[in-house]
Amino acid sequence: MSSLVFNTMFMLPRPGRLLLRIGFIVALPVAVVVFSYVKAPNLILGLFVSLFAVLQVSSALTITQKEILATSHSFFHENIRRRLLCTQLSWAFCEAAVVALFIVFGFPEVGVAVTASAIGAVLSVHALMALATLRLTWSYQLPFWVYYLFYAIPWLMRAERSGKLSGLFSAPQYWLAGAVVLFWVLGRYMLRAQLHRRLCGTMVLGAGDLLRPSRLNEYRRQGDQHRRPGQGPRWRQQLVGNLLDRAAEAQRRGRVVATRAWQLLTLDAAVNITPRVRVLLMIAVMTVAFMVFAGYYDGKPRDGRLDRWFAGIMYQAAAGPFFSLSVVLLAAPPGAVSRRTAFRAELTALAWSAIVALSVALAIAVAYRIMAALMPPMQWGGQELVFTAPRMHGVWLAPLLGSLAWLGVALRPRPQCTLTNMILGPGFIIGHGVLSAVPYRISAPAVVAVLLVAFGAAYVIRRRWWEQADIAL
Amino acid sequence: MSEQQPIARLRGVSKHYGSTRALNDVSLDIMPGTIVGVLGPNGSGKTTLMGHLPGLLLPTSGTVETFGQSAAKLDDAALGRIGYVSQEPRLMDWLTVGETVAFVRSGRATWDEALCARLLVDFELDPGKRVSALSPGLRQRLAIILAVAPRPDLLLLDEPAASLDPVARNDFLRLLMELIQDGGRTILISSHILADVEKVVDTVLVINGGQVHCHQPLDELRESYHRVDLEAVGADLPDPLPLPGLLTVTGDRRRAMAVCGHVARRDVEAAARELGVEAKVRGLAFEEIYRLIATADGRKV
Repeated sequence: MSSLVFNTMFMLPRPGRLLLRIGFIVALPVAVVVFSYVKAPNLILGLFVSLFAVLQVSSALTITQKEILATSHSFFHENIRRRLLCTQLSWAFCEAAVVALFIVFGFPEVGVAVTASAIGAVLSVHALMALATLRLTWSYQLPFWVYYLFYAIPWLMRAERSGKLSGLFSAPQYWLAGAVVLFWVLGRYMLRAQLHRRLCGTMVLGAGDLLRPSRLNEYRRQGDQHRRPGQGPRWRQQLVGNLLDRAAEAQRRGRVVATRAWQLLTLDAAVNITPRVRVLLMIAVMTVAFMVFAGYYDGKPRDGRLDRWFAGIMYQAAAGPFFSLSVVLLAAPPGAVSRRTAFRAELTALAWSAIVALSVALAIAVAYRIMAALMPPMQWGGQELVFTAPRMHGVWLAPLLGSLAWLGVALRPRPQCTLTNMILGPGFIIGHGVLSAVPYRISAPAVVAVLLVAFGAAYVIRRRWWEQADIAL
Repeated sequence: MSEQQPIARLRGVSKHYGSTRALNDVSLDIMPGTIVGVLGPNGSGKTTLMGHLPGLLLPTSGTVETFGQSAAKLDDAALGRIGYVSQEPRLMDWLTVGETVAFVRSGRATWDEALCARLLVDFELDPGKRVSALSPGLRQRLAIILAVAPRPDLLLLDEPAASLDPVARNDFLRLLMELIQDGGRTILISSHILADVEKVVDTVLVINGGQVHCHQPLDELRESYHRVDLEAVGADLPDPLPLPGLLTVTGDRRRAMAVCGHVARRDVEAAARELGVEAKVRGLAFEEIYRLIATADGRKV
């Protein structure tokens, strides 16, 4: 049993990173719950945020445990999986104790049944998240995805007011039984050598690694290690082949700028369209699912804020060609052409990418219109929902997303740098928010002005870079 | 006296990754106390073969037994008797060298503290340095210490010297010799540096295309491959040359260099004498023997 004695390496396997992850990701919800508690104590909101925090803590802990299991020597470490399971249980019980204290002191009027139910819920949620994190290779994304749960808060509040949730925490036996079952499943899963075999020697990413290009590159390299070039669906191979043919044709005609531009576009297609058929299918299914949901959701009369989801999906899809712009523009051999030609080719490739973005945005809009003709009205919560085709406003702005991406490349001209995505992401969110919340006649010119300024800045900086930068290495 | 049991036994082991056959019907025994050099070109299946012994990889078909147990179900005690250094060791980057050592020590019952302390000094590893700050060579040294310090009965070294500089490689070879002298220890080492392998191994296992091309003691191997320099005296050299185990011939009808394999030196010498030509029979360098075996295009030689 001495091997099962806890040590800090198991309880806090990556102390700094773990606390940072937890602190970062839980700070906002905790602030929300404290603020709302001071304003008007609400048990459901408090429990919701507590469970959210449990999800995040469980995710952070389990990702770190995955990192331990991924080390080469861990496979030979005595009882390591059992130790990690003990750590999971310890953390889960600590969380349950904290939530129980929160209820007992914050809401002394509620009974034992509610407290016990909450404890069961905490344990269940912890185990469920740990299982998901262990199982999914893309578990580093989970801390972000769970933020979507916040969309459920208005519904929860309404349900609480109408008394629909009154029975939810009155039967602790179900919650506790659920927790026991989930921990039993987690235990079985963690103790099996198969999990260790799957992870040992691999690279495990955490949420924070999304900001570390070197780790992301390493992860991608490992993922592509056993993949042969040219794999993927046939249409992808044909697309890449066609683009290369165009580059060859331009070269035959002596059009230097066009040759390089087509080469850049080939790289763009190869980088942005993953050869993994499963991922492509998942993206397609999720896009359609979101469109169906959005068509009905946007269709609800909502005090002037129309087409929010449509804009979100459309811009997300239209931003596709720009997401790997830093790789595309900076990974191509700079010494193959003159600096002037290279800059002109970069502009040409950017223009073509903008046309692709516009085409994608239009395709999404057209798909919506077709779906609007096909989708029947449906009842939801006593309301009739009608799938509504969105207004086409905002479609023409899609190509301008390229300005933001190009600014990212200009500000940090290093291949694989994530600045492009970091500018594109918040830029997209802010622009989207402005366009869907502020009257269109005000928001659209403002967004265009900002994007044109971004384009101008990127143009100046990139031009200077091509004129002066050391690019021979 | 009972016959010695193999420490690892593979029977009809095949491993497929999709359409790729990494191992193809491999059967072999690894005897205790042997130092086996696992050789082969890139992608030949060396890492896959070594990964099967501790049960890190499971065969698509066939069976693998280690310490008499199914490798897929090795218990903690059996796993504790194995040390493993992978090609690209993955370590806990967020710890220091000292913390990493302490962590691994906590899970290994047979940890040799004195050996570990000595190796940290010999390998110039600062216990206070973070693992993430180590160069690839230093990471490899740390991985070697973590695998060797528990004094395992079975030590699997998958290209352990690839990232080491010549001095460190020399230290590493010295360490291996020391472990070998300790007795009873079985070591499998894969490497592309044949000069190193030649210094330490007593058995050679050549694998290519997922198939074992050769598995025999190094001395035996050396004694069964010969280079024969022939010079015609009077009449031209016969074509084909009637030499036993003839593998390759280069030269012309007056002068030729033949390589014979899987045959005793005296048989080659006798055959050369019968030809009535001037013949010199010499041993082949290990590198040449390896090249002959590894490039046999799937033929078992």
